[in-house]
Amino acid sequence: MTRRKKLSMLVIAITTLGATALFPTSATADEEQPTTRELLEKCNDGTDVCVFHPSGLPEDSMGDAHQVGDSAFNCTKDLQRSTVGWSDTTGETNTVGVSMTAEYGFTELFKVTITASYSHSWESSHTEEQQTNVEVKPGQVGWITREAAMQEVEGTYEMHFEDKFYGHHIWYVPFTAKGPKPDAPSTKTQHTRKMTKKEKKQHCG
Amino acid sequence: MANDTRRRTRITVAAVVLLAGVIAVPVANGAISEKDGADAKAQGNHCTMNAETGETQCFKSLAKATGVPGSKRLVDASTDGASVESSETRAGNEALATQGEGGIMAATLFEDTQYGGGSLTITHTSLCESDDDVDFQIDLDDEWKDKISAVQPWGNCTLNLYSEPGLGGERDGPFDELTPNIGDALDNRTQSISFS
Repeated sequence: MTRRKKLSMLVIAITTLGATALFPTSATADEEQPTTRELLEKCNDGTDVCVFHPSGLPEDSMGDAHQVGDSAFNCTKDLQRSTVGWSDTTGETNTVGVSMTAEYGFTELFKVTITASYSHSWESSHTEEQQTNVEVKPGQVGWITREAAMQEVEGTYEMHFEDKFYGHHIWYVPFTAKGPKPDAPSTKTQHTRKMTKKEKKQHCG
Repeated sequence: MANDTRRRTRITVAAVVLLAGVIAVPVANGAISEKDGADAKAQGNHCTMNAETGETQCFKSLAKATGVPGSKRLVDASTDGASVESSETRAGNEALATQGEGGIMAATLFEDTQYGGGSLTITHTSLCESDDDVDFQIDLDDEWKDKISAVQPWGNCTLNLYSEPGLGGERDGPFDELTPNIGDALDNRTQSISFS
């Protein structure tokens, strides 16, 4: 082998070694991979160890504002106070789209960990009902919107398999869930605007 | 002869440039690596420390520090999720598998209770053996001394916290489960940790 060839091979060897040493042993795209749900369904049902590690405090936010109850149309010539009755349910979202009320090892573990970590329980669904007054001027329409208080928890499931699962003994699975924040008040807002011609025709005859 | 020398020089320079490029990748990704961790922490409040080398890297989020990307794609969970499976991406895009050659997480330590504030994740080359013997130990650098309020053991590890370097002073533990509040004994007083 010539010196030039030897040096060229050295370049390739150093580069390959460097890349192998510095990049984590993450699953590569061309290997067959399980879905996140497939992995999570193995938690405490095929694993030696399954632990959910929250990665910080729950993050609070408000949900999207959306109308609750019916609109109140004032077809009279006087200011009217209407009472709008409504019921609104806030649900949960998460990485795999499985409700925390479903009976899986990973859902039970998640709920237990949240309770132990933050001294409050996970709520999958919350329904609020109310009668809300709205003052509507003549020729106007009034309605109520609601924004629910939400909490988001991010973390990682650490899963150990006695026998390799998709080629590995240990999997770290990221998971995020967002749901109604227990005992936190929602925001209710009343709105009014002029009725459109179409609305006047439909509701005021 | 002169041509040979020039060729060799060009190849050697290429090798150095390529190697430098590979080494520079973690920094380009937003991490900084420092032996003592002091400058590293300026880059973010979420750090990793290799228990064997003491090398510390810091990042802006815990997800970046651990290398397990956060999962931001949220799916409606009001049903049992049966319809979601077909459209779900493969876990390889998000989940991280480890083969045991290194980068196994041994613990995450938090500045505040309930896993708030900054974090320091300790990595090791293997799982803990879960017996009474100490598998390995670390001394916290100045940036993390007397700051720990919550701990999460990983990798079958049981942690014991000590108030002085080299497993000296007072001891608190064992901690073998997630502990959102380590309690008054060594709150904000930990300087070294044993892993068993």
